[in-house]
Amino acid sequence: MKLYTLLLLLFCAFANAQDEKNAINTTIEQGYQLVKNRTMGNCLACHMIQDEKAPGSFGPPLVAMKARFPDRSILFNQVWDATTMNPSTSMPPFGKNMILSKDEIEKIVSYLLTL
Amino acid sequence: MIIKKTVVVLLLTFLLSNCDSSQSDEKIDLNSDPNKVSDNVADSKKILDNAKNALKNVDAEFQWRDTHLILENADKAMNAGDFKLSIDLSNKVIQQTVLMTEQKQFANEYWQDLIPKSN
Amino acid sequence: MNMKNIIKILSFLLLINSFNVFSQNVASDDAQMFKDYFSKRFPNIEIEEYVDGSYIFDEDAKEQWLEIEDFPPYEFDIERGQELFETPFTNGKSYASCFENNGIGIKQKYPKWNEAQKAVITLEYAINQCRESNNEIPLAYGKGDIAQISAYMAFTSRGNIIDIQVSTKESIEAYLQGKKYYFSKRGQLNMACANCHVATSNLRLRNEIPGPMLGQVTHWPVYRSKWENTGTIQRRFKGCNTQVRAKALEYQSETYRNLEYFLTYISNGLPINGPSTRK
Repeated sequence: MKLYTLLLLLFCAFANAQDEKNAINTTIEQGYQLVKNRTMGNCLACHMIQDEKAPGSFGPPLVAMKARFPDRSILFNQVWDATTMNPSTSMPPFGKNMILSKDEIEKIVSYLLTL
Repeated sequence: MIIKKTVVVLLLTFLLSNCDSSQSDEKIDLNSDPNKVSDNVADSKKILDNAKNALKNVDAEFQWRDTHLILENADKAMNAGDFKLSIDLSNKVIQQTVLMTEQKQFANEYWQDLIPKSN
Repeated sequence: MNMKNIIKILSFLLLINSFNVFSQNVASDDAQMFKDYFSKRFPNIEIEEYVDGSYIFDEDAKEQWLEIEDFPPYEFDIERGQELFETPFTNGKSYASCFENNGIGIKQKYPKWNEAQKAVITLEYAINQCRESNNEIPLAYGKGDIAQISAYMAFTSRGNIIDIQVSTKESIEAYLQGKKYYFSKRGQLNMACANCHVATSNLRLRNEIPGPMLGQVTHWPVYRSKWENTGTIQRRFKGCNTQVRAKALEYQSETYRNLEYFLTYISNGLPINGPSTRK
């Protein structure tokens, strides 16, 4: 009986952890899709990302993102409205100008931080 | 013994219920009032008209490409009786017209910042 | 000191004064300023080369383009344009009667400021004004017949040096409106023309290089592969507006005519080399 309870406990703990991991993976995957989609982030228009084809060079390559943005909120703000850092920037204000939602930008940021 | 078994069963039930980490079901608003929905037709029309006027008043040079499509969808939603959606979309249009107006003001003040300096 | 002399002196002073106004002409400062900016940034590129647009930054693309120019897709447009240009109107007159030098070799002078109309007149606008003054229905802008007539007129003007006049008070005002438009951020993507065609003009947007503002007008109208036909520069203005999620304006709106006026003026000194082909 005790062994059975213990096994059941372990199973639930594992199932919970797996669910959370899947959720994170889904977030990152969704972020990636938003980055690639030409009608959404369309980030490749200006930024090089890993091995993605035909990237633009208007902006810096998206590499070493965790090191460059140890504070996640700074990266979020850059995507939300890049003009706060540089009023003359060519980068669209994805959040402020209602191109992407807060949720979508959070997903993009999660993906970008894996680069 | 029976108490012990009962406790074990209860504990198991509690533990098993925590296995489910999926999204909770959408809560049903038990307070929704069907009369409240139909009253919104007046609000919906008013806000839609505000949105139409706001968009018309934006300088042609600072109009955005897709805002009129949101306005059309707000109109369709209202005609279909989905007043909540119509109001949401109309508000979205109004929000965008505010951004367009700010954009025009910013351009008026700061357009020269983009002129290249030769030295 | 009699009245006649006083009037002479006053007129002379007025004349001097008006020259002072013209010497503060922002336009004349700009013409050199943009050339200086680009020649400083790209010291290995001659100013005359800017007529080739983004190809000056991409050798491979330039080679491919030059191959296409051996048998250019706009050849038919030039032929058809000549046919349209030379066909008389119902009243017996023709386009030649509306333009100096019978309309041959004059594209480098457009857009022009028209003092009587108090407006910038682009070549395409002038073509339709010619039609209307001869009781003909104006042509639709952007593509088709008007682009073909423009292609023919550009072809007859190849090699002629762009020479846009911006000298009167109101023409300067129109020029400055065009300049302001160029440098103002607009659209949901919040981009100015300058955001692609000045500092980043040699960089890539996806696979494409936007090309610099200097010399950008010289090669129009253009057979664009994407369009599968020849279009005018204002057709491209509309496309660019749409691409930054701004609402495109009407063809030959005052805004677009002023923009074309500004853009062409800053290419003064460069030769016409239209029509051309682009992706």
